[in-house]
Amino acid sequence: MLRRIDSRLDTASASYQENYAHNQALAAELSARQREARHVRPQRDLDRLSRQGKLFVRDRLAQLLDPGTPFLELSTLAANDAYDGGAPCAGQVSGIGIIAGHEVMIHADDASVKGGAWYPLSVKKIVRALDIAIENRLPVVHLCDSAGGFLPLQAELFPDRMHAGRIFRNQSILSRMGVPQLAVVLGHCTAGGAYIPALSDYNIIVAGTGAIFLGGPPLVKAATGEEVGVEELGGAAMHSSVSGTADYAAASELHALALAREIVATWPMPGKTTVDHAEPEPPFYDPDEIYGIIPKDPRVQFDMREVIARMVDGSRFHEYQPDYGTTLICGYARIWGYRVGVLANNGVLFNDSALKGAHFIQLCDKARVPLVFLQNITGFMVGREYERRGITKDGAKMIMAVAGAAVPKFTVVCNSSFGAGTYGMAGRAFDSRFMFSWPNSQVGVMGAEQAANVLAEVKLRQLAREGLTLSDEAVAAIRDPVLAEYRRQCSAWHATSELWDDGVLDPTDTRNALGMGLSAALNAPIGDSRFGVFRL
Amino acid sequence: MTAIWPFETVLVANRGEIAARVLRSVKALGLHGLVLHHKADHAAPALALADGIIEIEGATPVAAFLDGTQIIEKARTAGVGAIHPGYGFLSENANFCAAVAQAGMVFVGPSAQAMALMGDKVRARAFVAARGFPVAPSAIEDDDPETFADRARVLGVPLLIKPAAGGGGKGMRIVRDLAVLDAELAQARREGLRYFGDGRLYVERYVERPRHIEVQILADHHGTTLHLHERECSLQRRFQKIVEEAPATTLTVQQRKAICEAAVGIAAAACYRNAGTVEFIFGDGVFYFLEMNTRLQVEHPVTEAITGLDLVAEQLRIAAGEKLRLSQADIRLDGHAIEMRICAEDAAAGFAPCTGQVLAWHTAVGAGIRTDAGIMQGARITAAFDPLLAKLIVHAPDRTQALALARTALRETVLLGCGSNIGFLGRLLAHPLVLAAELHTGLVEAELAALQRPTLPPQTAQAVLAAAALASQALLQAAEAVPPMHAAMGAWRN
Amino acid sequence: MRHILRVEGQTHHVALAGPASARTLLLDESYIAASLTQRVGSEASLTINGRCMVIHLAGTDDCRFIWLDGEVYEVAVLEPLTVHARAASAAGGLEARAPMPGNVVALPVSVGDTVLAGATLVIIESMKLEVVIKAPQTGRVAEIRCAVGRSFDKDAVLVLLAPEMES
Repeated sequence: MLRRIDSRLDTASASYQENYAHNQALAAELSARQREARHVRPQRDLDRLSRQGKLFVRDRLAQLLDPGTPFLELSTLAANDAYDGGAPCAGQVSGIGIIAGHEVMIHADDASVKGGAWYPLSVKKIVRALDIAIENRLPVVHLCDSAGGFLPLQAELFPDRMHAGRIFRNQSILSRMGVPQLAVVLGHCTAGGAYIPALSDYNIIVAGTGAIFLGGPPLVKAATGEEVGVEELGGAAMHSSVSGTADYAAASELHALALAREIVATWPMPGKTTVDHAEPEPPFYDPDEIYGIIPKDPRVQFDMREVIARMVDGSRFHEYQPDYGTTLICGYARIWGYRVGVLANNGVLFNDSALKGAHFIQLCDKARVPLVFLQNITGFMVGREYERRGITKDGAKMIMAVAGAAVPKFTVVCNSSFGAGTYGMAGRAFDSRFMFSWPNSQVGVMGAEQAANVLAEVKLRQLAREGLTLSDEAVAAIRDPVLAEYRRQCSAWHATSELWDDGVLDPTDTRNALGMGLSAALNAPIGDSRFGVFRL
Repeated sequence: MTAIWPFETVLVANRGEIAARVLRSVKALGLHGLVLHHKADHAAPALALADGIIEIEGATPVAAFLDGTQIIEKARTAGVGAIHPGYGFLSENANFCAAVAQAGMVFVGPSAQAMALMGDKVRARAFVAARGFPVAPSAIEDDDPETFADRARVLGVPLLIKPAAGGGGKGMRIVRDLAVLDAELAQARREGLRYFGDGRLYVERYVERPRHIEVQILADHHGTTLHLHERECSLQRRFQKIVEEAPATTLTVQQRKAICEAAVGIAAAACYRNAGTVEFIFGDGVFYFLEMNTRLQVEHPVTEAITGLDLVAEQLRIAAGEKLRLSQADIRLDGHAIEMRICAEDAAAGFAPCTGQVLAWHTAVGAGIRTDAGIMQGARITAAFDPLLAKLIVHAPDRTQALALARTALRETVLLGCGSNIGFLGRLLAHPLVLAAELHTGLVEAELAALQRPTLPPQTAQAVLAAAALASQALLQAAEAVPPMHAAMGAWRN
Repeated sequence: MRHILRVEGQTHHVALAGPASARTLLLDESYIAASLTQRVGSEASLTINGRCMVIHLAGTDDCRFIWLDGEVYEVAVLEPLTVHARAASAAGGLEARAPMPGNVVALPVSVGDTVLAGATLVIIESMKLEVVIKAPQTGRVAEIRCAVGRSFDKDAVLVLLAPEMES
């Protein structure tokens, strides 16, 4: 067994208390935002569902999942900072849950949000869910109930490579990979949406509410003059007994969901990739104390070891190169019994920390140890001395290692995530299986203050060339709006709204989220260890 | 025990608990015991006890046990020396009784003449009344069929309509309103024809809140007729007994003496031999002759408990021609005994018969507790036969203790796989009227609502559901299918 | 989705969850720590939230007999799919079932007969009680699954009707 981290945290100190109150309030804010996004709907929309004999999407999910099992919901707060807040959760629920003992990716339309219409971010959320399914070989259950694409924004959700077509492309790839998909048609599947059940290995259609057609009755009438009703055009009876597009007709939603569970139960249990695994052990230190560790002021330095100690099994950690490259902590730990390699920032990345990181990533890749990146990075060190030492080369080596690693990677943005440091620490572009943010986190090319200062500086020099100087108020007038806008764009709420991550987590939920992520990731094999050229 | 018996092999022409019970005494006397078997009975204690089995067939299982010709022929072939008819079936069939004797076998019971006399309820009443024993005011159809309905009307209400060829409480109807008398008479006639092949009726004045008191008779072929005290059988439903006791504690010494002596007198007058029971209706301090049952009765064990005698052994000895070794003074009365009839009936559904299979059967054990069972593990309970499964008999120094012992024994009697009245019996024996011995034949019907099982309290429901869930392979498999980490996380949400 | 347990006419939604060493019973709105240990024969020991009691168990999920404290209860454990699929089935109004076990006394109809709702289909007898089984709705006699003199169990389908043909 690894040694336990020796915690130096003083839970009685004023700074701990202050941080605790601040982070707990943020966690409460996260909870409130999620509750609202998940459950608060105009009564008339809920009434409409009732009248149609439909269940609310989360009630469907509750019936679909195994009782007493966890559900890792992804991107709950998607679109929270878009469309004037009119599309909570982007009208989609996606996440990983257990159905008949199988780990399954679930994608569900929320018909209580604009009839389940697909906004651009809804499409992005579905594509992301299916990308995760492909990378991790997760079977998929689609709960279909959508009015179709949100026409006013069709240019942002239809034509491009990663727009709606990518959903159907991903479905086809999953099928080619032999990963099963089941679609439950609980409402209309119109036009493109009709392809979801058609491209699924199995599909169930609910009589009376489910329908599948490339064009609905109004479109058909407009196109050819033919007059035909919903049931006759694409209802359950026709598709399950005449066209063969639907495999099963269900008499009710509960019948359909029960049938879905039985179908999933017939799927073969996938072989799991074996990695070093032991009996799980909860952390020795209380994860709740993380609230008191992360400073209220994002510029204040703290020791990430204290965070690691409250996230890993038994708070046990074997630190690699403890005396070298000390601004990057590297070491082995277990999360829910799985051995992982942890990288965490204790300051900016220097030459030595970048080299250490690149080396440690290679060690883990060779040993088939999944990697967990805990980001608190403001960037690489800049300056003449460091450029002469080759900080760019060394940063490139770390990026090359991150990009080339074949083992599953998991990223948690614990605090700052700025600049190229983000790349070296497995940011969004680097194919982590899952990426989560904490409510206090920020992501951007540089910090908001710095960005605002740089932009203001550019403006001031321009005015100076024209012979003008500005008063302090005038400077503030230029600087402050920029600062506010940057702050908004850097916040975790904005990042998660745009799906730059897979969800904002309460820090104390991180261990479970990583555990579920690790378990899901092991449904896919780990490729051979190969890297590009390290500029030495 | 006699050194020499005139018969070696006894056939018990019956099934269920009584067949097992009779066989036990047959074998205890050193005799060879055979039993009838119909394939509808596949797991029965009697079959294991018997030294040999005679297979019988019929259009229905019951028809097989009523086929006297088949039974006698097969018994003769098997070398049977004596036939014990048990109760029900052919036990009170005078023709069968005579045929057994004609076939050269001994019938363990009274003569065919005594059976015929007492079997005809009208004749029996007339016989008893003529000899000065008390009978209820009545109107007999046979006396004058034309005026029967009018004479019945004259008796006034309440009235009891009875089939002349009936018995065991079947086919009887109470009339409390003369306006429906004609309709009731017509219905009773139809039922009499259907069940007994005889539509003749008689009508008696009905005693409100009557008690059913009966006296056990034992008479040998050497002129001795004894009584073995009385039994109280007032806890009934639709004239079917549910719980019987001995003795009848609320009668005075004089009343008990009068009834028992009347019973002996009636039996002696009828030249009755072997075991039989004289039944009376008792109410308002007077008793009336009801009928005589010319067979061993279901509830005989309570008499055995208080007297310390084995009635079947006595029957066999009498049938073998032995003189009764006991005199009336020798008959003890020791404590109080209660018998509960455990039946496959659903008390919550109008006592509709239940079917199933005996998946578990545990009987109470201990001092003063006896269970005569007709079922065993694995037995199928069908609608083919009577729903009586077993009799639970308890014996204690007094009635209060006997009731307490009965309730304890019932709680230790476990039958799973078929509905039964065990719970109902427990509630009945805890009812205040029963505890106070304020019994009458209408008590059970009147108190039915109070005797129903209370609605399932939440804590009990929780325990029952938990047990069913934890025993369910389906639920266990569903839980085991969840991977260990997820099972440990429980219903976590982010 | 939970399994459906029925006892005394009431329906409950039940599942088992948690690790094998510490099973939790999800019973409607409650979470209960429970365990069951088989003893000899049908006897078992049931522990609920720390309280221990002796019970007897027999039967299968279709009908689980449970003895507790002198009373016997019958619990049916049903797969949700079976229940929801059955609810959808249209067979409800076309079956004439036996309300109790017994024997057929009279069968006044034949296959092909048209019968009105309430018409006598079968007369049964059980423990000397006669009961008339009537047609649940107007229809045609499609199948007769009993015979005079033969016995049957409770809930047995005695006669199956088909809907009256549309003219």
